[in-house]
Formats: sequence, structure tokens, C-alpha cells
Amino acid sequence: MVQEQQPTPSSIDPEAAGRHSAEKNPDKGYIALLGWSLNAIDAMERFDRRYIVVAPSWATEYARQNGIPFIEWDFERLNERSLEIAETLKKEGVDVSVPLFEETVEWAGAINSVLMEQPRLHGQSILFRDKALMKRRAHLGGIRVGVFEEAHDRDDVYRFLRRVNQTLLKLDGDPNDPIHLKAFDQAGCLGHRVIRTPEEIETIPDTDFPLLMESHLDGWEFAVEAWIHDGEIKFLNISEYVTLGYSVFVPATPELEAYREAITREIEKLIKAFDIKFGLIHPEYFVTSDGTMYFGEVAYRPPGFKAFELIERAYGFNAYQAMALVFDPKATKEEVDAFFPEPVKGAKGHAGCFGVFPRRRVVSELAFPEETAEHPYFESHELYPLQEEVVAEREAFGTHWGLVYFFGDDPHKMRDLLKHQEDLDFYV
Amino acid sequence: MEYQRLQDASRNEDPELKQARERFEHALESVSRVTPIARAGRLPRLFNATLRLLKLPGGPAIVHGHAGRFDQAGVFEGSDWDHPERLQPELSRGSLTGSADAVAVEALSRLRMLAIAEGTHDHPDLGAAAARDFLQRSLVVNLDLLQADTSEAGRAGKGQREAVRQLLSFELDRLGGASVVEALVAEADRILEQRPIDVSAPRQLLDHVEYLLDREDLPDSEALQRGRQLLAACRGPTRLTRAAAADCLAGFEALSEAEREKELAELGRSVMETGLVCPAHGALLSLLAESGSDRQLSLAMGLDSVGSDSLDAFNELVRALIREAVGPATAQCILGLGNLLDRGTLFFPPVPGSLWRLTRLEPLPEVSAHLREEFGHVDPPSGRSLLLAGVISVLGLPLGVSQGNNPTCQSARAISLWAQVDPGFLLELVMWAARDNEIDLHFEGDLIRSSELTEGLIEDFHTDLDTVSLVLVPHLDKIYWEMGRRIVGRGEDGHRWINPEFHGWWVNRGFATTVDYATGAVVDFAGFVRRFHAAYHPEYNDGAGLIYPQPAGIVATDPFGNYVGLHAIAIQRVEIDDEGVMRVYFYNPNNEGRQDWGGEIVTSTSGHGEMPGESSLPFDQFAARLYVFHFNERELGDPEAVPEEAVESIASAVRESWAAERAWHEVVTS
Repeated sequence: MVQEQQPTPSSIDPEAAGRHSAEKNPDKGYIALLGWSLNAIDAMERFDRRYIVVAPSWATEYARQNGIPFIEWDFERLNERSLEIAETLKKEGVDVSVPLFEETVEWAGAINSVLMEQPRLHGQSILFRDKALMKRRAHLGGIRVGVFEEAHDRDDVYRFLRRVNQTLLKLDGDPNDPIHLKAFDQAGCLGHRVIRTPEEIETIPDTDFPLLMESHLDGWEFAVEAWIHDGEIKFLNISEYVTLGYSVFVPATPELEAYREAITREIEKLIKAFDIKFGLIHPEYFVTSDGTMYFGEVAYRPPGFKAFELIERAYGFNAYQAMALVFDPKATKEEVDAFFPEPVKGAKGHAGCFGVFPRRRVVSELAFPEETAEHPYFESHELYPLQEEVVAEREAFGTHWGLVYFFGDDPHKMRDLLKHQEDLDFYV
Repeated sequence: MEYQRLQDASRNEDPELKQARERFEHALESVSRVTPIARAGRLPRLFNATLRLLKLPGGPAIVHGHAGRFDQAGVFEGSDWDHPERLQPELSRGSLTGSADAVAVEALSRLRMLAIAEGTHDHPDLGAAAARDFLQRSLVVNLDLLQADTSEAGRAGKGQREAVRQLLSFELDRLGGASVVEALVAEADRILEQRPIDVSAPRQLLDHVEYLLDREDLPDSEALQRGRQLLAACRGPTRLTRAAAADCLAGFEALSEAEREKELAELGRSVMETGLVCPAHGALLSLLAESGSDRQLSLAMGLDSVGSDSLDAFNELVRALIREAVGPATAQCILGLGNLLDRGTLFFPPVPGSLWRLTRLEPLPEVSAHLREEFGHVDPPSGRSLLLAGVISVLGLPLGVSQGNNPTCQSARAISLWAQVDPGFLLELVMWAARDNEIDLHFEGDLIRSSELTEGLIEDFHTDLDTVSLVLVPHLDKIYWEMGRRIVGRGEDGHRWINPEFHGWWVNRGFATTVDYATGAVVDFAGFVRRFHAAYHPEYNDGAGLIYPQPAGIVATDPFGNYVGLHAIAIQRVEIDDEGVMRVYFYNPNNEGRQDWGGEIVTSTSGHGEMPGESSLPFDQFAARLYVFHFNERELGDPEAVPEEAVESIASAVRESWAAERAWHEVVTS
């Protein structure tokens, strides 16, 4: 079915593409964005590089009306026609494709292996898409990871929970250390569950299998966004999680930034292990109290939680343009070096955001807390008023109902402010 | 100068203001930098930064300093505010009391408007004068938001209200209070000259005038003097009446006879000139009803010769009415009483008896309680006093009845028409409603009792009404609804049968409509217009003047001529004005007689021979919004005498307006 519906990807509106390309420097790389993101498109519109958006049919009309160079493509699955889109982009003169979402990472690998004539890129992208393969690769590369296993059914989960806690020398009656379950190929917190007791295993739906199980790592979790060009880190941002799945801010507190050198070494290991020559990576780590880094996972795409927007707010540079730049095979070292500011010191302040989940089970209206609205750090929010009473369910780590943005000078104040938001009702 | 001061201030700016300014500038820059594709995502930060800044002293000036950039930055892109020439001052209230984002975008728009008005920013579609006019008119309808703690307190956040307060205060400073006072006074005057029964709206405008006069010294002007006069009429036009009621009475007793006459004449004149009455005037008239001479009463009410004759003929009744109805709280009904006497209404045989009966009536406790509660006074007079004061007002100012915010134009029109032509019947209905809590009317031989009905047009009764309407409308509305229910299925506009039975035999049975009841199509418009001329236009109906005002239906349209809804009015008379234009004078039960119906059809309420409370339009313009009328079949002229061009010009105005999207069927004659 999907195959039959796939349009032939030759339908570039020559006028739309031509209009935009005409004003841009033909000596710089021609970028294909894989996936639909208004902020990414806006960034490319204002960047001196030709670009084209590859996205599903629901975006066609908007793209046409707004003169956005566009190719319709359904990213549902890779199949024998997948090469078509690569060939079309190659014919169009595109130099590289940039994945914007988890679902397009593998596509970018496949397309770039054709565009750049480097078949290895497709294999690399599969490492980013399969969390079990990713962990093994990291492990083989000498990176410290937790204990992990794949599970195909609930019995696998029972066994893993028991074995992990056995290893930890727990006695009968001691509370278990939790284990984490994650879907193989989904972004961030989607499908993430924490299991502490055998009873909880019964609640996992069949559709979640197969999945990845990991031991729990006690420590300080944080994320990194690293722009890599020619195998070198060009800019490294540390995003501090206040509470995983709720809040993040950049740049991090001095306490976390103190690990910057150690973190940089870890990222270099990762670059080597995964043989990354260019692009943006978004790994997550735990640092334990003795300073040991544990690798969590790594994504080859922009992070969620609007981290790009936070980085722009803090540093002033456009993170999407930065991404296109480091992907561009025609970008020079000078150009890339000149683009980025100095980490931490180059920031004008700390930008953070908080993801709102309703705290009550039944909510009927948006009641934005006055104390948040009046706080000098508060900048904006994207919460929507409710039309009717809603029963709020939080499945696994779930999806937040909207973000609240803050900006201020003091990282500790920012951290405490974000933490405090967890105690407030945004919907009642 | 202004700019200089701004610059100097920024050097040792308050840190909070500095931070808010930087946030605002950064957000504005961020909005202007992106393409329209990503703009929506950047606006919330700008809106929040705007509110932040507005709240701080000196904040509005900073936002205003950037106003020239808003259009270019795309702040209003894709919204109504992108077309400032289409914005309506009356609608700004909704934004200023709405969500935080609505307040912010309205604020940015207004400060841009101010920059246009001051000539520092050019807009292709809006000139400086129009921008200034918008802001002045908008300030007039929003001035209560300028004063601390308003009734909106519950809805909008505290900070948001403060932002609006600072914003409006800044606008007022820049525009100059004098021009706003001028607009307020003009608005109050335009309402007052229609002599409404309920004067709460102009009184509120005058409260704002008082606030502005106290706020700053304004250069003297005609508008300022008129404003002072109107204010004085509310608060006390003479030295005596400005004092507390007890002091006023004592002071009055101490005057010589000549001084008393002078004082009373001045009070009577103030009422007649302004349509407003002060509380002390009520206390004084009560005193005169007990011990004053007829001459004193006549002066105090500003009576003309008919009024004085009425007083002479019904002396005891008038004094009883004053004793029962008039006091400091109900003083406004003195205007109605004076008019009632001047109109000679007491000479209608059933009226004196009905009024005597009402002076003795003790309304049902629930009716009294309702009236007292709605009166909005800490110590309201008795239910009987309130009801009587209301009755006096309606009989004195029959064209001052308003439907308020209710969809009950039919009921309001009925009350007005009865007060004009059948006051005895109206007083009978008031008696029933107040004493029995029901009224009944007949329809095609059946008795319809309001107490047996539950349904009406009113879903949520707005009680901003005169007392008689408060008592009658809930009953009338249900009866009207029931009559409507009984004609369902006849396939014709039910007003044909309902109007004569609902109002009275004097509504003509001849009935014409041009809208097909089932399809909404316009049918035989030419025939309809010809007949309207033959029935109402003195040049085509052999000069047959209108004896009884007649209900009629108009199509209400907005200022762009678009269909809004159907509306009940009454044709009062058709006459030539001073400029030789044939006009239809009509009663509109809507809150406000001045309306812009598009296509240059703007109803007039004064200056074209209107009596207070009447609206008027040139005959052909009126015909272009008419869709239903009643006519006297025995006094119909020749429809074919109406020239083709006159008919065609009205028809084309209709085709361009409310019939634009309707089918149009003319009768073809071969």
C-alpha cells in the first residue's frame, strides 16, 4: 500500500526551487532537509545556501503556498524504491541531506551514501537508529555503558530485573534497583518506562516489544550537542537536565561545566567509535559522584525539548544553520570556525524550558500560575487553553502539553526555578 | 525634547526597566529577523516582554519609541491588526480585557496608531487624523480601565490590568486630555439628546470627564464648558443642590420667595437642557409636593403651558405621584414627569385613574425585591416607588425605552408604542404584572397567559433596563414566542398576524414583505417598494399622514452593508425635513439610535428634525433596509405612480447590501 502511494519524487516545482536558489551562492553546498520543521526552513531561508525540503504529502500545500522548495516523500519505511529519492536529489544537485527527526536519520544515511558515494554512511546511520546496536558499538569502542539486553517478551524482562538485582547482591526483601525499558528506535523519552517490581512488568503492552532493557545508573544525567566537522568538535554545548523529561537549560551550571574537559574526551571517544566525520550528535551521559562518565545513548539529529531554540536564545547563533554548515561538504574550516562563539563565555545568559504535564487527573482549564508569569526569568509559553474537561493520562514518560520558556543570568536560580515549576498546577 | 528626555533617562535607568527594555528589544529583533514561516513562534516572547514593559513607569514610552518598526517586523502579520484602517474602536475593549496575548498585540497596535497620529510613522492605509480619531473614540469606551480597580478585576490578572492602565494613561498624556474630554462630552450629548430613560451610560462618560478634569488642568473650551454643565446637572447645577439633601432643604427654606423661584427655574432649565437630574432636586420636589405652590412645582419641572395646565387640572394626582415616586434616589424620573405633563398624557381618560391605582399598589414581594435589587443602590426606595417612578419615565419618554442587551426588540417596541398611543392599556399590563405576576393577551381567539409559558427568546435576561421593562419584558417575551410558535407551518412571515394582536387593533392589517419566508429569497422587490411609497410617502398616498405609529421590520446590516439580522422598529412619521428631504422618522428599540448600516446609510438622531428618541433616514435609504411593513388598505395611493428610476435605485442599493447572496425574483409583466 505504502509503496503504491509513494509519489514519484521528480515533482520539484522548478519555479519555487529556482526562485530561492537564484539569490544564493552556488559555490556553497546544496542542502536537503529531511523532515518538516518550520524553524529549520526559516533558518535555511535566511542562510546563504540553497536548500530543499523533503517531507510527507501533508506539507505539500503549505510549501507551495509559501514558495518553499519542496519534494513530497513518505518516510514510512525503507524499501526497494528508497534509492529513487537519493537519485532525484543527486540529479537536482543536492550535496548532502540533513535529518531533522529520529525517523529520518536512517534515510539521511542511505541518501548521503549515494550523494557522497560513501556506502559506509548508511551502515553508520543504522547504529544511531538501533539502541541495542548503538550500545554494543559504544561498548566495543571502550566506552563505559550500563548493563543492557534486548527483550522479546515479558519473561525476558523478569529475568533481566532478577539478574541485575542479583548482581547487586540484593537480599530478599531489599527494594530492587529499577531497570529502564526503551523502544529500539524512538526518540528520547518516547516509550521509556521504569520498572521496579515484577508486578509492573504485567502492565507493559505487547506492542512495546521488542525493546531494550538497561540497568539503572545513579548519577547526574545530562545531554550534549556537539557540532562535528571534519572529525573535529567545533562546538560543544552541555544541556543540564533539572529533571529528566521535565526541564533543561543551557549553558549548564559551573558544577556541571567543570566536567567539560572530561566530557570532551568522552565525545572524542564516541566520534572515533562511531567513525563520525561530520554532523550534529546529541548524546546523553550519566556522571557518577566519582566523576566516571557512563554513556546512555546518542542521536544523530536535533534534540527534542526545543534545545536548538534554547541554544539560540543563549548564544545568539542559529543552531539549524550551524547544523547545515557542518553537514555541508563544501564548507571550509575557516567558515565553520568563524561561525561558532566561545562556549559558556559566549552566552548572554541561561535559557531554560519546562515541559508541562497536568498534575491532576481531571483538568478543565489552563490556569497559568501568576507567580510564574510574574517571575523576571519567565519569557513565554506555548500552552493552549482547554475547550473541555480532559482526563489526563501519562503513558510512560509521555509527551508534555507544552513548554514554558525562561531566560536569566544566574544558572542556580534557573535550576531552582525550573525545579519549582514541578510543584505548580498549570491546568486545573 | 521628548526624545532627549528619553535618552537622558536611559543613562541611569532603573535596573528593572533596563532589563525589561532589553528583553523587549531582543524579542522584537528576533521577530523581525525571521521569515514569516517562523514568526508565529517568536511572537509570544515579544507579547510577554511588551506586557512586562508596559507595567513599569516609563515602559509605554519605550515601547512607543519602537512603534515605527512593528509593521515592518511583521508583528501584526496575518491578523486583524495588520489592517489598522479596519479596526473598530468599540471592539478594542474586548482585546484590552482579553487574554494576555490579546492585550499585548492591542497595545502594540495602539502605540503604532499613536505614532501614526503624531506623524512619526506612516502607514499606507491609515492617515494621522484617522489614527487620532480611532484612539480618541477607543479611549472613550475604555476609560474605566484607566481607573484603578474596575469590574474587570475578577477576570484579568492584576499585572495585565496594570499594563492596560499604564498604556491608556500614556495615550491620554500624548493625545492630550482636552481632546478626549471633547470626545466624551460629545458622546454623552449625542446619547442624552435622544432622551433615554436609562442614563447610566452617559453618567459613566461624565464620571470619566470628572476624572480627567481632576487629573490635569485643561485649557478652557466649549466642550469643557458643556462637560462642566452636564456634570453639574448630575451633581447639582446650583450651589444649594450641590449640598447634602438635608442642607439643601434647609437652605431652600431660608431663601426669599424671589430667590426660591430663581433657584427652581434654574433647576427646571437644567433638566430640560441636559436630560439629567441631580439627587437634591428629587428631595426638593418632594418638599414642594407637600408645601409648595403650583408655580413652584411648574418651575422646578420646567413645564410648558400644556404641562402647567396638566398640573392645574390634576393637581392632587401630580402631588401624590411626586410623594410616592420622587426622592433623591429616583430624581431622574422628574424628567419623565415633566414630559408626561407637557405631553398632556393625563388627559387620556384611563390614565389618571390607572395612576391613582398604582399609587396605592403594593407590588408582590418578589417583584419589589427584584426591582430593589436591580436598582443598584445601597438603600433602595420601596418597590412601589420604583415601579411608579418607572411608569412615569416611560409615559414621559416613550421613545426612551430600550431593549438593553436582550434580543427583545419586539417587547421593547410594544412598551414604547403603548406608552405613546395606548397608555391606559400599558398601565393595565403593569398592574397585572406587578400584582398578579402574569399578563395575558389573546391570539386568534385563544387566551395566552404568560404564567403558563416557559419558553421565550431570552436565555440570560440582562437587567440593564428601565423598571417597566424589567417588570413586563419577561412576560411579553414569552407571549410573543408563543404566538410565533402558533403560526409555525403557515409558510409566511408570522408578523402579518402577530403584530396586530400583540400590539393592538391600530396596527394596520395590510401587510407587505419582500423576503420569501421559506427560502430567504427577495421576491417582487419592485412591487414591495412601490407599495411602501403608496402607503407611506405623502407624495404618493395623497398626503395621508400616519395616525398611529406602525411596527415595521428592517434588515440590520453592518458598516460594510453585510447582513446582520432582522430587527423590529416602529415608523413614527414620514415628513419633509428643513432641507426639503423626505424622511422616515422611526423608533429603534436598540440601545443606540445612531447606526451605520453601510452604503452611506447612517441613521441620524438629531439635526434633521428628529424629536428626542427618534431616528431618521431619507425615504429611499430607509426603503433600502426595510423588509416588512403594515399599511392601511383604505388609504393606499397608486403604486404605479412611483417612477421606475426611484424603484431601481433602491433595488440596486439592496442588491449591493443585504440581498447580495440571496436569490432575487421579480414579477415579470408582459
